[in-house]
Amino acid sequence: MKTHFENHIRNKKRRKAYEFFDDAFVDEGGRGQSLSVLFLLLHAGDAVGPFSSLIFGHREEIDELCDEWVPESLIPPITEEMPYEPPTLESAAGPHAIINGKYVVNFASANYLGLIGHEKLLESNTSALEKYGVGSCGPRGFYGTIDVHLDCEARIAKFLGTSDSILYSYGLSTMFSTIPCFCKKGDIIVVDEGVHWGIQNGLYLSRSTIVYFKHNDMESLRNTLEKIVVGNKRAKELRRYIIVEAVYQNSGQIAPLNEIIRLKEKYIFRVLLDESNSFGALGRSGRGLTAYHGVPKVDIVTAAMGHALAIEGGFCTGSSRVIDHQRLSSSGYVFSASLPPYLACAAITAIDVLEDNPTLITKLKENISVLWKG
Amino acid sequence: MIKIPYFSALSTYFSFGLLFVFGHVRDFFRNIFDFFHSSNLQGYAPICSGQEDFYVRRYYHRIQDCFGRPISSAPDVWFDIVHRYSNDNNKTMKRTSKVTRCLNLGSYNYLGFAAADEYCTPRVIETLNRFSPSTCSPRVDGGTTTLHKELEESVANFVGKPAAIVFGMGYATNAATLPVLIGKGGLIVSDSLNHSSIINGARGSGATIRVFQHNTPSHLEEVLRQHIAEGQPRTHRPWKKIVVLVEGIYSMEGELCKLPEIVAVCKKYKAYVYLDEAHSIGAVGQTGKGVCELLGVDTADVDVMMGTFTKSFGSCGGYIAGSKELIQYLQYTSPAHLYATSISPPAAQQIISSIRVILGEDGSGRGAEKLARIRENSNFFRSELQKMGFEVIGDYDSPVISIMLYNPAKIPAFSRECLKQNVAVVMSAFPAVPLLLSRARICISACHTKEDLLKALEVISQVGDLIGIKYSLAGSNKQHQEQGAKKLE
Repeated sequence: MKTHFENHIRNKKRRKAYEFFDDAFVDEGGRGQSLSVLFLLLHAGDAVGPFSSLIFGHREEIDELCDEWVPESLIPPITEEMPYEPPTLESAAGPHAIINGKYVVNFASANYLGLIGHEKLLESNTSALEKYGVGSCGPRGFYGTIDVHLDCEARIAKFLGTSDSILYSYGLSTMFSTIPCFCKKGDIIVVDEGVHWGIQNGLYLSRSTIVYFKHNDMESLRNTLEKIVVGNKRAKELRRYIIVEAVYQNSGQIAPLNEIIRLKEKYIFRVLLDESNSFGALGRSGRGLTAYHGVPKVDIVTAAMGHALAIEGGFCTGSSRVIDHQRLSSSGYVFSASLPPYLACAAITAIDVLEDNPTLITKLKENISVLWKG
Repeated sequence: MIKIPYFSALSTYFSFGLLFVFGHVRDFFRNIFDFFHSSNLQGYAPICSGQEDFYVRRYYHRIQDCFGRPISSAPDVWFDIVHRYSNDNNKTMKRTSKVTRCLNLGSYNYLGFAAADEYCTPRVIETLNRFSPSTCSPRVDGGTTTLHKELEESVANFVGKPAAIVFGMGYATNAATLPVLIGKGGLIVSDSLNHSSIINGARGSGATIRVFQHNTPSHLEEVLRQHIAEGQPRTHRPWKKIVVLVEGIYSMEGELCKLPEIVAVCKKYKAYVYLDEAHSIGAVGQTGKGVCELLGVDTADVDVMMGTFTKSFGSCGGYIAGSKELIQYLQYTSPAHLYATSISPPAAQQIISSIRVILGEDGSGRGAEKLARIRENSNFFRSELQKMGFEVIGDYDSPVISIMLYNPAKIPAFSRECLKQNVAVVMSAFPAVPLLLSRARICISACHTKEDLLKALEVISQVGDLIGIKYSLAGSNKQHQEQGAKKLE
């Protein structure tokens, strides 16, 4: 009873305070108004939803409703199909691995170039571990930027012939941070319907207008773009993006990038290309799908390094405007601890190895064609 | 709740107003200048329209040198900061080869595992040679090694939950787990100062999100009551479930979560508790087991325990610990488990080894010593700062200490002056914290020696006098200090 009364008094006081502000706004104007704005600003933190406790009825009623409410369990019941024990490796996930003491050939790892267990990588890792320790113990802004990160970013940019690049500490986070960083509410994204979870999550977080086109179907893409642009004046002022994967993680299909680039230039869209499965695997020197198709530079390219480079993390590369924008607006970059320095060192070495040994790519191609022939 | 002095609030608004006006004057001239240059956009809408990056161009660039300073050594207690220079008013920073050795008060190196460690590093290198740096495969395919199993067991055991699952990145742990646990028709009640990863995870889930006042169990109760009574928006159907998201230690404030009260409220209203222990696991508690141990909360009362390995363990990645069923369900559904490369084996070994050290299983008493030291160091540093008259926020026992600065101009001043005297601190400014509440943040490590701390205190005190941030000196604390001084005499 007492608290009820107290609440009532408090509400009355609050209401009075607000009436006071209202009066100040309405009556005095001029100086009074500016003063009260200042007053409001200074007290912005104090006001605790002045009407929140007025909205809803009696205490007992709420008590009852709260008692009655029965939540679902946190997770649905575990069905038979759910428990699944993945194979447990007792060795490195190289081309040959040991599972349950049995020697097996490994077709599960995206170790396209066979860099797992590569001597040079291990060497650079070891020296980095001794010098820098394992973790970076901080986000990039707060002393988590280690010189090897900057070297690695420069190395990737040089390898791909772009002006700058940016490192992410996890492959999966690269896409779901990059997309919301560029695509905001109101922007238009045209996206292939077969993209992987990282991109789907990024699309969801961006809150942009999302239009799907049929998986790898250029006719569908052309129709979609035309529908959006033609006769729509407003669309011309919006940021427009096409998001595709170079090699689709879910289907293994290669995107017809030259056609996409042609359409993009015709309808003036920016392209965000995820090269996770093609970087290091396609193109004569492993520079990915852009090199494979010989098309000019794509606006924004992202890739996970957990595939061909056989390390972890991801990167995004493009013009310096594109990269600098991410350094302050990309949540997976700003709010996450940076890539462990030993992995950044390994990335530099892996790219060196890739550049020095073009035979790695030809060997990969041979293996692929052997398997296709059956 | 931080109370900002009236004068500081006024002067801070004035400073921001000035920056705003000057920024717009500069923008005005820039626009005129740009008008005569042909645009190179060729029909594309700009990546960032003029207003969107106003803050970056006209404010952040002025103080850019205080952030993202590169280092060229391990982020240990003393580290090498690389000098940078700028030819265009701080717009771009260029690296030089010159370095300065500085005292590190910025890294999350709570237990001192950031640099090479006598116990961990040899094991990490051994693992590297055996397992390579990566598995190139998600956990469900070919990315599970014996090491990953060992790590999950060791984490579950350490945290005090029946099972655990690990991911390769702390941020992704939150961002990928929350959408699995709750979806449309669910309600997320989140602390107002939660980390961006939690916010993104909550947004990604599609559930309705409500915020309660930072660390205020009574307001949490109010929010819960109101929303249970109202039900879902528009339809007023009852909620499917309610998850309350809190952090163990709030990284920008250094405040400990009022976990016992919050758990009690959640129990009363049948809401599930999701606790993010990114900064507290390993750093607080008698045996380093986080806020639950420190505040005497039974881990069985916390439904989902999340944490990261970046801080106390000096590695990377994150974990979720909970009931066996929860972990089984996550293994079946979590995108970070199904699609993302598994955690790097050397990093996994670092975690296993450092947990062994913390638990004393390495045969030395180093773990217990580290835990005692971090507590002692943090409390010593905090009390000394308070005695000096700084406005310090956060709780005792927490290794994160924030000193309030308020005025925007004091951010670069504090940072640069400290760096001149070889002390590196982290500045947190808008948008990481509210506009008015800029602060300097200090992270204490168990490896800081008494001399290190005394040096840091001396420097900070000098700088504090110089730029006038000893706000509480004016009040009652002055008397305290005088009394202390008398005692010393």
